Amino acid sequence: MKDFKILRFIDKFKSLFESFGVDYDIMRKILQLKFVLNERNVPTVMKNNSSKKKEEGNSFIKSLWFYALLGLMLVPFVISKGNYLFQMSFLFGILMFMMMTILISDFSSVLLDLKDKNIILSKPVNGKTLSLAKTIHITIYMFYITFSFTAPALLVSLYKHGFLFFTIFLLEIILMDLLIVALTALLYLLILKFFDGEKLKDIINYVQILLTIALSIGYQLIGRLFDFSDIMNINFVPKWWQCLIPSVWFGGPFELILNNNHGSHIILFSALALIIPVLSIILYIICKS
Amino acid sequence: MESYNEPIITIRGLQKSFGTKKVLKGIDLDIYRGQIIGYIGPNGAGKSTTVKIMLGLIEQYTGEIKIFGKNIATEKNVEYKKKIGYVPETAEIYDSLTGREYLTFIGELYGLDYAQADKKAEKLMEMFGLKNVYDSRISSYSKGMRQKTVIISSLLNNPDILFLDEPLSGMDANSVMVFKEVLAELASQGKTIFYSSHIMEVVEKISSRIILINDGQIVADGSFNELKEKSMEGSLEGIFNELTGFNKHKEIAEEIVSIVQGV
Repeated sequence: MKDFKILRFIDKFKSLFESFGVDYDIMRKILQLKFVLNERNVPTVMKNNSSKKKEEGNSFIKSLWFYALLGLMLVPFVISKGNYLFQMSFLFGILMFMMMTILISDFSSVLLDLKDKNIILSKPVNGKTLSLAKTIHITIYMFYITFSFTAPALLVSLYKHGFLFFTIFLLEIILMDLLIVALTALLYLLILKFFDGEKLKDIINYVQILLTIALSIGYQLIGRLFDFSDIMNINFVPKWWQCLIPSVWFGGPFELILNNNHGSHIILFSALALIIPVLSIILYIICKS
Repeated sequence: MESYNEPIITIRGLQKSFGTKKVLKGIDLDIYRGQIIGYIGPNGAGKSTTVKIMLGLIEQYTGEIKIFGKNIATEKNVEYKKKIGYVPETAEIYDSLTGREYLTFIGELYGLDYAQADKKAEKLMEMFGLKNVYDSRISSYSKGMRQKTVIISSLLNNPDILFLDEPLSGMDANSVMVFKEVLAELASQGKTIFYSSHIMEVVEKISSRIILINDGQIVADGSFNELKEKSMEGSLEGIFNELTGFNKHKEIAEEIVSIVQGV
C-alpha cells in the first residue's frame, strides 16, 4: 500500500502516542489502510458524477475541488463590512450544517464500522490503538474537507478584512471542526450504550434523517435573530435562546475583537465558542477511556 | 512442545446476557491440544457469542476464560491473539483492497513483516487456486473466493488455535476436500480447531469431539461414537434433533407445502 505524506507528518508525534499506551506501528498501519480505503471509496457528493465509468486515482482529492467550488457560496458573507455577528453566524450556520451532513453521510461507516472490530480486534491489537487511529483518521479528513470548503471565504476575508479577521476565522474553523467531530462521536457513543450489534446501523439511519431535518429547521432560526424589516440597519436583540445556537457563538469573537463590542451577550457567545468545543473533546476522551 | 494434557482453553461458568436476554447460561469447557471441536447448536444458541467472547470482541461477561493458561479478562494485553486464527461467520473483508493488500495488512497486524506475509499469502493463494486474482480488488471476487481469502488470512500467523465459524460457505467441493484435509493435518500437528457449523455431515466427519449447545447450555459433549451410544439415533443430524427436542419436522414441512400450494 502506498505511503502518505500525512503519515510521515504524524510520525513526528510517535513518542507522544506511545506515551498514551498506543502501539504506534499498528496504528500507522490502520491509518494507512483507512487512507487507502478513503481514496478508493467515492464520497457521497461525487456519486452522481462517476456513475458510469470506473475511475481510478484518488477520488477523495477530486472531491476536495468540488467542496472548494461549493465554498464560493460563503464568500458573500465575508465581503461586506459591518454587522459581523450577523454575517459570521450565518456563515458558520451554513458551514456547520455542511460539515455535519458530510460527517454523517460519509463517515458514519467509519465511526461505527463493526467490520473493523471483527477484522482488527480479533488480531493482537488493543482497543485504544484502534479507536485512536479512527479518531485521527476522521479528524484529518474533516480538516481537509473544511479547509477546501472554506478556502475561498478565507482568502477573500484576508484580502478584505486583513490578517486579524483571517486569524480569528481560521481558529474558529478549527474549533468548530473539533466540536462537530466530538459531538457526533459522543452521540454515537450514547447510542452504542443503549443498543447493541447490527440493530445499530438501522438506528443510525433514522438518526441521520432526523438530524438532517433538525439542522435544516434549526438554521431557519438564524434568520430570525435579526429584524428583517429594517435590513439596511440590522438590529440585534439578544434573547436567551440564542445561546443554544452554536453558529451564533462563532459570530461573537468577530464582534468582540474587531468591533470592540463588549456587550455581555457578545462576551457570552465568544466564551461559549471557545469553551464548548474544548469541553466536548475532553468529554469525548473521558467517555472513550 | 508443551504437554498435551494441559488444557489450552478453559472456560468456567461463562454467562452472558444481552439486555434481559440470557444468551449463555453457564458454560464449562476444557479444550486440549490437537482436538477438532465440532461446536454445534440451533440458530441463536450462543455459538458465535462464545467464540467472540474468547476473542475479546464481546466484553462484560461473567465467568472465567483461560487461553494458553492466562485469564483473558485480567491479562490486559492482547498478546494471546497472536497465536489465534479467526474466520468469522460472515466473510468480513475490506472490499476495495486487493488480495495482496488485505492479506499483508492482516499479516502485519499479527506481527509478521511485509515480505514474510506477502510470500506466505501468495503461496497460499496459489494453493487455493487464486494466484491470478492476488492483485485484483476483493470486490471482484466471488463468495467462495472471499471465503478462501478470509481462511488464508486466519492461517498467516501459524495459529495454535483456530476458530472457524461456518468456514466452508460458498466454497466448491474440491476446495472443501482440500480444506478438510488441511484441518486434519493441522490437528495432528497439535493445533486446536474450534469448528462451528450447521452442516452436520461435515462436523460428523472431521470432529474428534462434538459439543452441542442448546439455549445457552452444553447438552452433549463427546466424540461422535460416544454420542451415538447414548442416543438412539445413527446420525449427528438425528442426535441434534433429539437433543434439541425437535421432532416435528414432518408436520412443519407438510404445513409449509400446504401454504405454498394454497392461494
